[in-house]
This record gives sequence, C-alpha cells and structure tokens, in this order.
Amino acid sequence: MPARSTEALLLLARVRAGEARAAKDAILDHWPKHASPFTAVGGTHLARLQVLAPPARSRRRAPGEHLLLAADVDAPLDAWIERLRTAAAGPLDAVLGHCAFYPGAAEPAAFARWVAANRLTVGFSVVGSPGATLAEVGAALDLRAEIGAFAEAGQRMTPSALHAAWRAWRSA
Amino acid sequence: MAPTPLTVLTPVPRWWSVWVRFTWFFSAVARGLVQRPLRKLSFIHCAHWSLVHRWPPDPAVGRERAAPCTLMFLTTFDGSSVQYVEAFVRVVPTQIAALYAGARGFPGPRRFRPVARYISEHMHPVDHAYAAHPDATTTSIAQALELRDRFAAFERRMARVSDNERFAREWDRFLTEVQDLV
Repeated sequence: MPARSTEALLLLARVRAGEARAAKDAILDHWPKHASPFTAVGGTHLARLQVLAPPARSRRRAPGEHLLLAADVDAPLDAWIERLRTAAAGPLDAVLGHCAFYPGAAEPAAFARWVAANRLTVGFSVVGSPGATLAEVGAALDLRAEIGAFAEAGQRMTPSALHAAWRAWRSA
Repeated sequence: MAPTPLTVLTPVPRWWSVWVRFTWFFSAVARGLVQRPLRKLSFIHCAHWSLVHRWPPDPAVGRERAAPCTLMFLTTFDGSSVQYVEAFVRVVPTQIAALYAGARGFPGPRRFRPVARYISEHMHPVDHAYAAHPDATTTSIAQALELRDRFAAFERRMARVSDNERFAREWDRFLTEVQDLV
C-alpha cells in the first residue's frame, strides 16, 4: 500500500435550534460553487459543507440539524486546519457561527479546540491517490499535458529538430 | 465534469456498531486487502466511513432526538450515483454486507434497485462541494502520476544520449510504452 500523503477531516457540529435555514443560506452566500473559499486553502484535494438532519431516534420527534465539514487534504491535518482558519476566516464564521459553542476563527487555540471537540474518527477509507500531495497531482497533470503536446509537435520533426526541441523543453 | 459527492447516513443498532468496528480493525491489519477491490473500481476519489455515537448537543435544546448510533458514509466519485451503486453491488457485495447487513431496513447487497432505493432514502444533499481538479478523473490522476514516474526514468536515461537518431528512436519507444497514459 502506498504511503499516505493525505488525511481526512470529518467535522460534525450542532446547528443552533432554528438556525438551519440561515446556515444553509450562509453556505450559498459565502461558499459559491465557482469561487470556493477552499481554493485559497492550500492542500485541499476535496471538500464539502452541508447542513443535514441525523436519523431520528423515533418517528414522533425530528432531531436538530447538524453541519458537516469534510475534507481530504495534504498531511499533516493540523497544519491544514490552521490554513483553513486563516485563509477562510470570514466564510467560516458566516456558516459555523450558526453552530453551538463555535468560538470564531479569530482565536487560533479556541478554534483548534472546537475543531478537535467536533471531529469524527474515520473508521475506514479508500482514497484514489493517497500517496500524492495536491502539488504533486497538479504537477503530474500539467506534465501529462506537456508530454502530449510535445508528442504531437514531435511527429513532424526530424531527429535533430526533435532532440533540439527536447533539450529546449527540458532545460526551460 | 466535476466529481459527484454523496453523503449517506444509516442508523445502526449499537451491537452492530461493534461488528463494524471489528471489520475496520480487520481491514487495518489486512494491509490494503479490503481496500484493493474498491480502489480497482477506479472512479472513487475518496470514500470514508465513520460511526457517530453521539451527535453534538445544543445546550438550548433538551434531550438529543437523533438515533444513538449512525454509520456515516462520505464519498466523491466520477460519474453518476447509478453507475456507482451498480458497480458497488457487482464488485464488492461482501464488503457492503459486512458494513450494512445489520442496518435498519437494509435490503441486502446483491440487487441493484433495492440498494439504490435504500441509498436514495438515506442520502443527504451536499450544499457545497469542492474539487481542486474538477476536470480530472480518478483514472486520469492515477495515469498522470504513473506517467510522471516513467517519464522521470526516461529523462534520466536520455541525459546520457547525445546522438539524435538514437534519441528519436528512444522517444518513439517511450511513447509506444506509455500511449495509454498520455
């Protein structure tokens, strides 16, 4: 099995009574699909935010909503959590501010304690490329595109031109 | 097309959660034996299972009304949820049964439609999903990483080659070898 370069965060927090709609609206307003604050948090492979209602204990009484923040990120996770706090403080506060006991993103120690108190242990995972950091994945995808472009351009070159182009490409 | 996120919450009896934990312990000591067939499905970016034994409380509200024990399944995958469930049922029914056979109302792992219905009844819409490389599939990422390693080896070999004809032959051979990865 390849060495793990990624870790997962599962964070579950109770949304204060009557604030589930506001929490959902805050996600829509502050976490737009095409300008996600996660983009600014280095090392984020995948992430999600959602308000959900847990399964009920009985059919008569509906349980209160919770907020789920989940992410697959470059290890170590604690460093990513700190990057999240600093890079997405405003959008985090807008959403997590509807959760019980949330201390805000301004105070690092209190934020870290709240995250630790609300973290779930991951029991079992399958990750597509667990041995690669986000930077390595990005670089590999870029290199793949470059190799494809060079292969296409090289089809029309003489051996000497191909070799010269190779040297120019690899020394650039 | 961006990968699809799926969140499924399944209430399970406490006794079943003990068994689920045992299966996770077994998968940890089996060193990838359990994950391997799932990874071979090659469209899973990630899949995580966790047990929620205690839903975080709200001090303003009385006794918690959530089910005492819930199996949480989060996954992100390429394609549609129909393809995903169909592949799970076909390829890893034993692993599904090991996790869900004791869950309330679970119809068994071998028939697609009842499993798809069960999942749709227990899934929760994701309000915001992010993927760093939304256009890259799990397969294309794996291929790019393998190509990177093979290209690095090729580049090291070519550092000692000065003859143009030989370089052109080696380049053609390399492209033939990695044509499925480019």
